[in-house]
Order: sequence, then C-alpha cells, then structure tokens
Amino acid sequence: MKKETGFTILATAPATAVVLLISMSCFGLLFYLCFFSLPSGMPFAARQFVGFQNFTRVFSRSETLQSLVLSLAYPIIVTLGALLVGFCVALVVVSRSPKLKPIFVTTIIMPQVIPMLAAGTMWKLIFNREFGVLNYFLDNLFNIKINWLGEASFALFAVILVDIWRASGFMGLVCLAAMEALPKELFEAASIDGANFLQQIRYILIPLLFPVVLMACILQIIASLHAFDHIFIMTTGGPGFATSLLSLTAYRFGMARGVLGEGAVYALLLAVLALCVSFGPIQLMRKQFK
Amino acid sequence: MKAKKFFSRAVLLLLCIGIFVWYLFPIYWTVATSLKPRVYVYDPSKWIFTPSLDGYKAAVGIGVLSRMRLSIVVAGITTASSLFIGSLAAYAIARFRFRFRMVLLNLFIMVRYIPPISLIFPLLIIAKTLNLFDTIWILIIAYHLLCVTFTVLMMSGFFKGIPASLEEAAMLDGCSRLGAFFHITLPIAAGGLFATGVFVFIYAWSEFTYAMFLTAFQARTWPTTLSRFMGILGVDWGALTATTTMGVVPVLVLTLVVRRYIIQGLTFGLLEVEK
Repeated sequence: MKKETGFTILATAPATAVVLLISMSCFGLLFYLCFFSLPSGMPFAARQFVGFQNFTRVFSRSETLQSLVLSLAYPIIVTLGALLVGFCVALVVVSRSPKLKPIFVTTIIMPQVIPMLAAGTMWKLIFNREFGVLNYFLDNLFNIKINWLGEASFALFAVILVDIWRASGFMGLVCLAAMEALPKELFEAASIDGANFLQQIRYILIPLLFPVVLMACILQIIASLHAFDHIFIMTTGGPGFATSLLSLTAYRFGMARGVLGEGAVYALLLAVLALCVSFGPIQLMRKQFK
Repeated sequence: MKAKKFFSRAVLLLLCIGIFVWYLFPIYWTVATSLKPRVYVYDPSKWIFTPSLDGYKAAVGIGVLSRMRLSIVVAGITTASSLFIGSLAAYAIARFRFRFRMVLLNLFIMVRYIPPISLIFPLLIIAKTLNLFDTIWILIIAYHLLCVTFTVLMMSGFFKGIPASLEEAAMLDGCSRLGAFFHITLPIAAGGLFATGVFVFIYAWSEFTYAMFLTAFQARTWPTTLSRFMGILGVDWGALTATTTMGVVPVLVLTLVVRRYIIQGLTFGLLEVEK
C-alpha cells in the first residue's frame, strides 16, 4: 500500500495535539505543583517554592504507607473477588438453555455500566445503619445491627464489595463469552473418558480460559486503581483513614484540607502507579497492531 | 437417581435466582425507594406500597432537570467533537504503517489509564488561570482527554476489519482519500461509530470527579447533585434515589441499544474473546 504521508499527518494531528496538549500540560503542572506550597482557593500567583518539603511531609506521615498499601491491595482483592463471582455466574449461565442467555447477559451488564457514583449511592442506602435493608435482614434473622460504614473493617469491606459487584459484571461477561467460544466436543470427550464435572473445570476449562481471563484481570486491576467516586460518596475515605486509597488521600489533603502541594504528591504517586500497570494493556495492543 | 436429578435442578434454579438478586437487587432497591411515599422512605420493612412521586417532585424542585440539561449539552459537544477528531486519527492508524504509529498508540493507552483524580489539581489551576473555572468548557476539555483516546482505540479496531480494497476502488474512480473515508469507510463502520458515540456520551453524562471539583454553581452536571443531597442535616434519600434513577435509566437504555459492542467498549477490543 502506498504511503500517504500528508493525509496521515493531517488525520492524526488533531487527536495527537489535543491529547498531548492536555496531558502534558497537566502532567507538567502536577509535577511542578509538588514543589510548591499553595493553599487551595488562593490564586496561582500566591505559590511559594518549598523544595522537597511536600515530599518529606508526605513520606513521614503514617497514613501515606497505609493508603499506598490499600491502593495496591484494593484492586487485587476486587479483581480476584469479581473473577470468582463472574466465573461461577458464567458457569451457571452456560449450563442453562441458550434461550435464557439474552436475559442473563442483560442482567450481568447492568452493574458494569452504572456510573460508579450511582453505584455508591445505591449501596450506601443498602448499608445504612438505621434503615438499610441489609441491617434490616440481619436484625430480623440474627438480631444484630452492624455499623457498616462507620467501622473501619466493615467500611473497607463495604467499598470493596461495591466494586466487586460492579466488576463481577465485566468478569462474568468476559468469562461467558470465552466459555461459549470453546468447542463443546472437548467436554463431551472428557466426560466419555470419565472426567467428572470438577475435573473438567480444573483440567480443561481453567487452562483454556487462562490467557483471556488474565488479560481481563489486568484491565480490571487498572480500573479499580482509579476507584474514587463510590468511596467518596460512601465514606469519603473514613472512618479515619480506613478506606483512604491514594486517590482519596490526595483529595483529602489537596482539597479538603487545602494543601494543594501535598495533594499533588499523592496524585503523582497514584499516576506513576497507574502508568506502571498500564504496561500490561500496551503489550496487549502491540500484539493487535503488529 | 430421580431424587438426585431433582436436587441438582433445584440447586441450579437457586443459583439462577441468586444471580438475579446479586446483580439487580441494588438497582431494584433504589428504584423502589425512589417511588416510596415520603413516610416510608426510611422504613425497609415496607415492601408493598402505593407508588408516589414525592421523591421525584423533591428532586425536580431542587433543579435536577436543569442540571441534566447541562449534562446533555456537555456530553453532546464532547461526543460530537471527539468522535470527529478521534475517528480520523483511528483511520490513519488502522490503514497506514507510519513511523510514529506505535508511539502514538502507546501514548493513547497511557493517557487512557491516568487516574482522573491525578489531573484534578493541575486542571484546577489551569481552569482558574484561563478563567474557565465553573464553565462547561473546562469540563469539555477535561473529558476530551479520555474520549479522544477511547475513540481512537475503539474505532481503529473497527476500521482494521474493513478491507482497504473498497476504498482503493473508490479512489480509482476519482475519490480523494478523505472522500473515500467519509463515503465508503465511515458508512460501513457506522454501527461501531454509533456504539463508540454512545459509550463516550455515557462517560461524559455520568462523569463525577472532574465535574465535582472543576465547577461550583453554574456548570454543575447531574452527578454532582448527588453529593449535594448528603448535607450536614442528613440525607434526603427520597430525592437522592429519584435523582439516581433519573440519571441511571438513560444509561441503561443506551447500553441495551449497543449491547453487541459492550465487551469491545469495556476493553476497546484489546480482548478478543468472541469470533
């Protein structure tokens, strides 16, 4: 195919310009802000150069390590939980008659497309201590009431559960599509050879699904790394710093407490983390476009 | 044997019900709460009630509808412009092997995965400096970052699937490259383009992080009104669930329209599970 350099440049220029301009100016400014002290609400001209003071303050704080660990653990827990749920759901759906499939698929899609903020609102109502439906059931069945969003470990569990709920839609869809692409004969042959249901899953299904599912997991880990909206509306990172991922910590220092410079350090930390993980999708894409 | 079969069928049925409850209950509960009369909103034991529009009236009274109109404007402008910019670039990337092709793609992917909260601080400064704070334009600029990259990644997948010979035939008949793109390629990829547009629209419609921190009063889109209901005096759950329902229903309807493309939309075709 002959090269049309002029057209290529003209066609790619607007998109490249927009993306480069916005992302580079933002990144440059973010990096710049890390070295300045600027109370939020003040004009940009009021900034003061403080050198590495923001960094030393951030890294001497015990909350930093905690939110870093949370930010690393949270996506992994969410992804594994969602994978477990999604895989089981896909197994059940596959074994039902194909007529019911569209209903199941529509159902499974729902949580995934609901905005994270709306999902947070929905679950906040369910988790409510006084009139949440979850406590209503617990109260009637076991006579206990749990302060879901007010106690550290329960709050963490709650925000993780919301993300698992959402991600299980994505994982269920991927597992279902991948399972349907597999030839049925494989399983028939295995069952003739005497493999039971669990053995079929262990020795045929899991190895065959592994590559696709691994990639889906990487994409989900990145998506969960961005988690902010639902935690913001459910707990705002509290109680204490129990649910403060890096994104929430950045907000709490940079916006709520108004120390823009320290917020910027947290934000930079998160961005670097995200860029490291985005290496996975880049590899995927290389395979497709080569 | 018969008992065993009956038992396994019962288990399977229970599992199916469990699936529906797990995925749909939060949505059902929100919609149901939004329809409860004001007195029952804080009473989870009330499962059967005469529906009322109290919550919706309260939400409309606070001005949710004008916020939604604003959301539509922001999402509409973002969608139109990023589809145009993005699909042109996607076409070039799918068709030609130029030198910076991989660099460009890497850039787009990396930008796609920057967490929005990381860009809040610089965007806030930019908005204040350029006097764009609390206008829809700063939101549109911020959304472009993600929408353009999303369109490029998504559409290049679709364009790759269209044989180049069609365009070459048109160009032999005297069509320019741009003409061939608009008259031949784009109509063939119309389904994909529409789906991409829907995904971009949904994103801009429901985006929260930027909208929350880059606007104050004038340019607030509907997601930010949700956090507004959670005041110091407690939460007005009737109005809150009503607003949530009003915001989520269009998203669900749009999603069902483009159901076929959903996996591609969630992974921009990075995962090839079907076919």
